[in-house]
Amino acid sequence: MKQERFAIKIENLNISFNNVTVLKNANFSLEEGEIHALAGKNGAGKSTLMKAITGINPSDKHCIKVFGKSFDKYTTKEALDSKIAMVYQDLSLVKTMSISQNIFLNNYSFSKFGILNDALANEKSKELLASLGMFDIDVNTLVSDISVGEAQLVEIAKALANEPKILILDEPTASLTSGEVSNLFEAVKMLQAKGISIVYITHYLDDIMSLCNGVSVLRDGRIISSCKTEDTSIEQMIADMLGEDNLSERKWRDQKKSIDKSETPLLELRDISTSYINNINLKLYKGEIVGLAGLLGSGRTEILDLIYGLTKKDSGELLIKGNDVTINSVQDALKNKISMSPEERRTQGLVLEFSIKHNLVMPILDKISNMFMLNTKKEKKIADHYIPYLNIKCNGAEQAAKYLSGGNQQKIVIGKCLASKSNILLLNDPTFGIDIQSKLQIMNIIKEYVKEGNCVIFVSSEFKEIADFCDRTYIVKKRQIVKELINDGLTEEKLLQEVQ
Amino acid sequence: MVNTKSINWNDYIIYIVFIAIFVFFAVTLGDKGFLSTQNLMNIIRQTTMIGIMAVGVTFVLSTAEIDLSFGSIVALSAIVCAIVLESTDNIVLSVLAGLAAGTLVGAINGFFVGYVNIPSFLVTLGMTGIVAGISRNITDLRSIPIDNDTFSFIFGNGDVANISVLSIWLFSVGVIGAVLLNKTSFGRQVLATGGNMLSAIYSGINVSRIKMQVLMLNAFLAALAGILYAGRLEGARYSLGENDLMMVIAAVIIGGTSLFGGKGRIIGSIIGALLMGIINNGLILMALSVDHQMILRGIIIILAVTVMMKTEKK
Repeated sequence: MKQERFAIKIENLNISFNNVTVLKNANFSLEEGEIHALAGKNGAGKSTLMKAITGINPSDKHCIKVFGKSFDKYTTKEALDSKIAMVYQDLSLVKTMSISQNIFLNNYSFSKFGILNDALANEKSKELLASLGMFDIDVNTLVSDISVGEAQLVEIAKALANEPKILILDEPTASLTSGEVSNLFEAVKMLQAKGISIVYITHYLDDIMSLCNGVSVLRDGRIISSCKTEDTSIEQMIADMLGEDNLSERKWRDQKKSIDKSETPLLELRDISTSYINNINLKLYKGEIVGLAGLLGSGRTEILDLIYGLTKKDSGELLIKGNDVTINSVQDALKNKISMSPEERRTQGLVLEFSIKHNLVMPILDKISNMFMLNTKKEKKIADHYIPYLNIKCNGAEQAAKYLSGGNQQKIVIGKCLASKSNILLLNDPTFGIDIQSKLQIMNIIKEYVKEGNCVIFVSSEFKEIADFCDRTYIVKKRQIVKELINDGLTEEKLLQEVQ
Repeated sequence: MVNTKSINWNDYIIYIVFIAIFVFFAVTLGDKGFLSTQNLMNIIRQTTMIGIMAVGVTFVLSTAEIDLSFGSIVALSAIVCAIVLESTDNIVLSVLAGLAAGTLVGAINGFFVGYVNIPSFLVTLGMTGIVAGISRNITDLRSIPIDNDTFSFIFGNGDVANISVLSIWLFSVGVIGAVLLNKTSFGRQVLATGGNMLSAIYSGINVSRIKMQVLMLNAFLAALAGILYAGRLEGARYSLGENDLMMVIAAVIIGGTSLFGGKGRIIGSIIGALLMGIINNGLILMALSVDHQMILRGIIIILAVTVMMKTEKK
């Protein structure tokens, strides 16, 4: 057997937060010079593992070895000294600074007596970008003026400025167009050719097959499999990611509703395009829960934003009950009885300092006032109705939203939509990061809601939820709706394959 | 689970600070007439304009915006009011003209902040220069006298049943402001806009319009303060309101309104303004020179704001 050299070798890593185990006896190894993928569902422990490698999460003595060297204490300092660099998913560039200023943001190796040598920094930036296949760009351009794909490469160049031997890329393609993705792949391969070992985190299993040498799959804090990419397949990876639990808990399975398509749809999009999404066609009938399944950056959020009046359409028609309507603002959407539970409940859904009651009535202030004066009786009535109805656990309607758990905060956001008496409810990842009990309660409420003749569009980063919960699913890929599936017998595996 | 009752301390700290400083002056300056009815009424007279402006600024800060131009609006509206009164002798017309001039400035501020999305700090800073320049230009740096006893009675020097009309103005503005912020859909939209603008937008609140309305309201109240200055001083001058910026903003912050939006305390702002008045008055009674007064006032403001902000964090 040939002597393999490991850039990183982790043995029996255990990490837990507040007595919740996140990683259990995790073993992970990155061979020198390989591109190794890390796959797993949301919450499988990918970020925790990477934070252990970069020293942000403390780990036990000697369980992380970098280039054969083990450590008594492993912190961000040891990780930096070992030449490990990470490129984060949410770009951390300063938009108001130039490309080269960003690349050398906290790297003053070119300064003399405290004066920065801009010319040399520019020269070096050009070299770094060229090593990523980016030749014809002015390094004095502001980051706010370049595309997301270019920014992603600048971000990598910034990591390269510290001359790393190990580079971790966290979902680098999430917001890129397909052209930008192939540029990125070229760049990653160039880095490999220079001898840099790379950990590549992604949800795109196709990319793993075409780009990476090896792959490890995480599930529930354990490494389930670790092998060469030629020894596995997309189907095998999906099976490893999902494990046994995809067989249990098919709660909603047998309740699929069949839709009478001769009816006029409650909501219909005809050939709608915006600056982001193209030719969207979608129909939503009374009593239906329709899923939008797509990966991050596929355009699923943008479709909801369009319906909710947050972005304007360039072309196409939006019909409600067969009537062409114009929705240019959230106010228009609400008037047309469309409501939305946005993706980020804390930053978009709630005013955290407001009480539960005040949050609940935010979209309906006009409806609960006489002239200008708020009718506090009506307000109280709404709170008294929805808090028990949604099972919001709290110390009363006056409690500030910021003190509630994620699940209970999500229920308030759903409550806002219900209180506005909408017919069309847009749910953007409402179950993200909330406990299972709240999840089930929310789903029951939504089932109740559609029974009253309303309809729901459901976006989730958990494909299992879409497969089990929805009546019908549209596959969103590369900013388009590419397929429509009836959910009868639809599985998470199938959806994961479709969205690739 | 956090006990919701324990966090409301900061709503009361202003009253405690107020009482502490009041008692301090009452003890140290009691023999110099600090507690005399006449002196206390004087404090209210001197504080009314600050208090009225503080109500407006409370709305602006509640939306997480700022207005630096209200001091200049004070002078402009006083001058417009005095000029119209001088030429027409019509009180109603002159007051309406003064209020309209101020509110128009607020509308321009609001348009740029709400609809062009320019930071309020910059818009209102620039506007300060423009408005102050206009005031100097139309008056040629001269005072415009007001020779109308009715006007002066209603808008400054009158007493009704031994109570200064100014305190009636302050009380009315305070009550209307408190109701507007706490009991109306407009007030709720103001607080939501400042509390979390994104969430407000997602809830269908027209945040552009709210910002514009709030800056207009603040300008309207500054204009009212300007007219009251004109009434009390029986004349208008370009320098009116020039030095009120620091006092007003300090009063609002000490009163418990958040600089970062989402939380406004109208009554607190008025108490804060009265506190400013007491401090001024106390320092004068101590027979300190103007330079010493300025230094001490600055120190007291920083200390009071520090106490407020620190209790808020708990």
